[in-house]
Amino acid sequence: MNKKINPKKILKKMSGLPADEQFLKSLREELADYMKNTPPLIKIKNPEKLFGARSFNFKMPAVFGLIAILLSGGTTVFASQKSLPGETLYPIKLLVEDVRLAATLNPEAKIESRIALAQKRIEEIQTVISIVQLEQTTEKQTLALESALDNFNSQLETILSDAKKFKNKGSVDKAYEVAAGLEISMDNYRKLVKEPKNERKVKIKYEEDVISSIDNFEGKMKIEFDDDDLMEQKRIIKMKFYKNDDSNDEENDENHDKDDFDDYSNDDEHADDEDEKENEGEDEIDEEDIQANILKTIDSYKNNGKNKDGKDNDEDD
Amino acid sequence: MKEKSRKNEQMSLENMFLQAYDNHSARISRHIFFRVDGKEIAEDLTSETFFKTWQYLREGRKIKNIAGFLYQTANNLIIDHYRGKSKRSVSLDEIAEPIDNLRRSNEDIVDIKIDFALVKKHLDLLPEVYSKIVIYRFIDGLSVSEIKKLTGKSTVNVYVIIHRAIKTLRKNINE
Repeated sequence: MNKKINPKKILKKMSGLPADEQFLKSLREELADYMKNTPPLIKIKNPEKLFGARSFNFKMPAVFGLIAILLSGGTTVFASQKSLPGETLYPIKLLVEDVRLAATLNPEAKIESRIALAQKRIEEIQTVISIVQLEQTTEKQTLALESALDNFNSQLETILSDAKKFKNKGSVDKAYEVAAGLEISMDNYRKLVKEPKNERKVKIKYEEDVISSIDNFEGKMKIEFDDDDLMEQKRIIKMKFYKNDDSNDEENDENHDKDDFDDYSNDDEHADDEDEKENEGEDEIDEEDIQANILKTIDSYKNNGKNKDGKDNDEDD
Repeated sequence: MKEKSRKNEQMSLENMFLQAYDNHSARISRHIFFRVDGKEIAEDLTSETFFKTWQYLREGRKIKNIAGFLYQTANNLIIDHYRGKSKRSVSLDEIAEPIDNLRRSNEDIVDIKIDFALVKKHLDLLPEVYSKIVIYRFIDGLSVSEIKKLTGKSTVNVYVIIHRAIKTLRKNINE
């Protein structure tokens, strides 16, 4: 009786309850009868139109047309890469990312990019928050922040579903590896949000949201993957990092491309400069740690992929 | 893809609606079941949801997203049902009834029944919006963007509600 109950897990189980087939069947008959007695009042030529057109198809040719341009990278594409949520070029940035992802065939490489993209979203959200006071955000910016958050969620969602796919195909180890990698990245994301660059006392709405969606994903992972096994995988991956990278960590860190976001926040935060300096030392170390960790996660995927090359290649479909 | 849509064109409205019924009735009825007290009421409301939706369609009115529309209708009916009634009551047996249909050992069933009843009870104690969204998310397996459309809340809002609701549930249940 003293076990902890996880409501999410139970809700998930409840969702698997079988529906009452008999009731549904009899209702179906009733409904068919009912419709016979109450036929459409007017003659309906294209009933499918009443159900809303399926408008997704137009996307495909357009995307294919764009691939060439986007992959080769025009000036706009290049310029868009530094844009932030709410700026004109931001949607193009997301589009470019999508196209690049679509063009990546190797599933592991895809997962790596997704993990990196999710982090990018968090950084963007934080940058925007630090530039503008949240109360003063325009509607456009609010929408953009939400779309950045959406994008963050969808990256994680896809990684999770990739992990599930691996599991369903029978590559359970691989699935756990991906899932554990995701867990580690989420820990890192959480750190990113918890320790904002400029000392702010108040947690801002969007940061809470990021945290709550991270929580949400962790819950989902717990449903899908066994907790203990996941922890074990996590430990293995972490051990690998520290073995490989401890020595050359510090030199590498300077090269990480965290510069573009710092530029933004420093320009507008002169008032907070003093506070910032006090904390700079600490914060930087943390940030770099996190970035290094993520790079390590990615490396470990690569290494593992290579080690088992023969086995896993058949999953590249 | 194209063949399929051509086929649909020749289908009568009735058949299309029956198809929609086949696709969504299990989800809708489960959703209602978790939100009202008692199987009979749930069944009544499920029937009414589909009849009402048909009434709407037969007048030649357009439904953009049939699943969303069904949920919305069910939702309105549930609200109507509770208008005037003060408190929901939970019956342990009714909640757990479908579990008996699962092939499990007796001990398991008892365990699951208790857990389910607990969660359902605390779910009912949450504010209406919270329990509704939790049910959408976890029982119906809807995505956040679907819930966003259904409830008219922002994505962020939905996430926050889910987060808080689960937190509250976990706290209350384990206390």
